[in-house]
Amino acid sequence: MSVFTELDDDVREELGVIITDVFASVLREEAIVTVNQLPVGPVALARLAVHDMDGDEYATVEVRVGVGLARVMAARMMSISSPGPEDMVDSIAEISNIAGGNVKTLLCHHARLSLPKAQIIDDERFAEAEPADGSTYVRAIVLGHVVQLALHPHAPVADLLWPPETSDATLEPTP
Amino acid sequence: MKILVTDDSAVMRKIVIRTMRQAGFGKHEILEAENGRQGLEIAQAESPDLILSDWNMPEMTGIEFLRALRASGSTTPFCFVTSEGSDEMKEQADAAGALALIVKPFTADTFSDTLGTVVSA
Repeated sequence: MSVFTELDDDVREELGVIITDVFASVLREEAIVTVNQLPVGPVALARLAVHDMDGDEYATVEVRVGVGLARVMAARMMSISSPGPEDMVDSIAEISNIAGGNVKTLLCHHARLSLPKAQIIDDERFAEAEPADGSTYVRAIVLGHVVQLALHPHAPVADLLWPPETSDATLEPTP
Repeated sequence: MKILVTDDSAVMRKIVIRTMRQAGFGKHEILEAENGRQGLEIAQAESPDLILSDWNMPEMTGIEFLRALRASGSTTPFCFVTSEGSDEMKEQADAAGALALIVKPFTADTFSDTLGTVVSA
């Protein structure tokens, strides 16, 4: 059985805690779980892969927010007044990194995380209420905007970069 | 006092530095590095009094950075600031000689409680 699918209610609740905690602590604003959909339109999204080494299976963790909130996030996180697209991408990437780390700790015993990859896209689709691919979605409202955390068990990970494996060369004592 | 903040995310470096300030540690000189390899170079050149480092980074990870630092003879206090807080990682960090592992998201209180013994306000 996959650690990334057939999640029980307790785990889903914990995913809700993760998304609310991450946004609440980074933005210093209240965040509450919601069943509302993420609006269609321009979104900032970031994804990273989790490799469960016990079961040798992969999933991606994805965080999406509307561009309006992404701009507010970047301004607050970077303490700048007029964040550009690159600032928004950096900010959502870090949010996904924090969320991904917490998801990995929640679901896996022995796993590794890829580096996050972020972009701004124009999304015209709502997430399916009961996805056939086993994906899990949790959403929260922050500053009046819906944010979404998704776990995709079968999503491709080939385009994601991984931190280097530990190499003996780095462990050599300096003469 | 010099504090080296190592994280591949510029956003997170800013957040860590801001949180240090909120925790009352704002008067110290802050150095920044984008990955473990750069962190190691700066640590060897600048001899910081404390190192805060992410774990997952390109070029050289945080745990490689710490192991290389200890292998070079440095005993500089080293604290991970990472999004992952599994027991396995805590054990690895402890075995490699880390002071502590702060899990993101964090608060200024977390920094005060964890670093108060090695950083003066």
